Amino acid sequence: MNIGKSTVCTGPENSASQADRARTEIQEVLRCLTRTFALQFRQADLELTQTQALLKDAIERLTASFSNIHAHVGAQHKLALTRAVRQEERGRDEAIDQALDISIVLEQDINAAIRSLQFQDISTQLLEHAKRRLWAMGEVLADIETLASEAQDESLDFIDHLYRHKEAILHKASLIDERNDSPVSQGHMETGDIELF
Amino acid sequence: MAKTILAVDDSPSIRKMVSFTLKSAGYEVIEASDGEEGLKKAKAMKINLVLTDQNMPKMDGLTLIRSLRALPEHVRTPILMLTTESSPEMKAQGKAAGATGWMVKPFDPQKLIEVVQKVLG
Repeated sequence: MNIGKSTVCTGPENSASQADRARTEIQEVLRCLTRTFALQFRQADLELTQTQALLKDAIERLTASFSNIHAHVGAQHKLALTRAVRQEERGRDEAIDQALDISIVLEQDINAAIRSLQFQDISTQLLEHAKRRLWAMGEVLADIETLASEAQDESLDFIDHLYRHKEAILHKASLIDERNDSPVSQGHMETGDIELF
Repeated sequence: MAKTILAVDDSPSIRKMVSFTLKSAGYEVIEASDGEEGLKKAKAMKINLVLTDQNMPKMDGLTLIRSLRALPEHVRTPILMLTTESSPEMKAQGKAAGATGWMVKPFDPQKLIEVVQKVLG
């Protein structure tokens, strides 16, 4: 990461000029930090938005395919069952049993597909939550940028100024966690809990 | 006559899966994409059960439940919350608002049908 001016030791300096230099360097570091992180946050936000768009497109195609496959398979299965029932007595029971076994497997697979096809709703909510977190961190960055600008004021007690900003930033960061409870706790696609009141 | 279920969710894929599941069990399904639209439809037509998400634009699920419970025709209508939210605090809010039950996503189609049959009596 390029942090602007380098800190090369050039020999003995008095404490006042060292303090000035430290102030300038800290300002540069803060500016560099805000620029770099702001850019990275913007990029992360764009990538999350792109992921949401891809998920939306994928789920639309998947649900359409699922509906079509279900309709075709259902029709085929009905036909197979009808044929089995109409079959001559010999082997008819076996054919019906086979057809019924297939319907059980089909139903289980359909149920599993319906459960899995809910991934887009759940992951989109998580992505939205991650975007809100980035946006809140962007606000913290804006505070740090203000700190860098204010640091130019030589009448300020710089150390005290830094300390107060550090406290304010930590407070804001803790608020992000408090206010940003994720609506999603699931880490898998198994069926969620059911509670009747 | 088939009972009518109002499915309220801002996710089209969830609405589609709910609709697919409940229609296959013989129910009629009306869809709404947020609480506001859900409330409008619940006022306009005969609804036997409401299945709603919590986090939605315009009006969330808890507000929808409170609004429905304020209507004489929906004081006793079963209302199920179907949401990713699973914290005890949220469930308590749902219960206080007047929800009949709480289901955490993802739902299993067979279990959804069983719960719907149970609350519809």
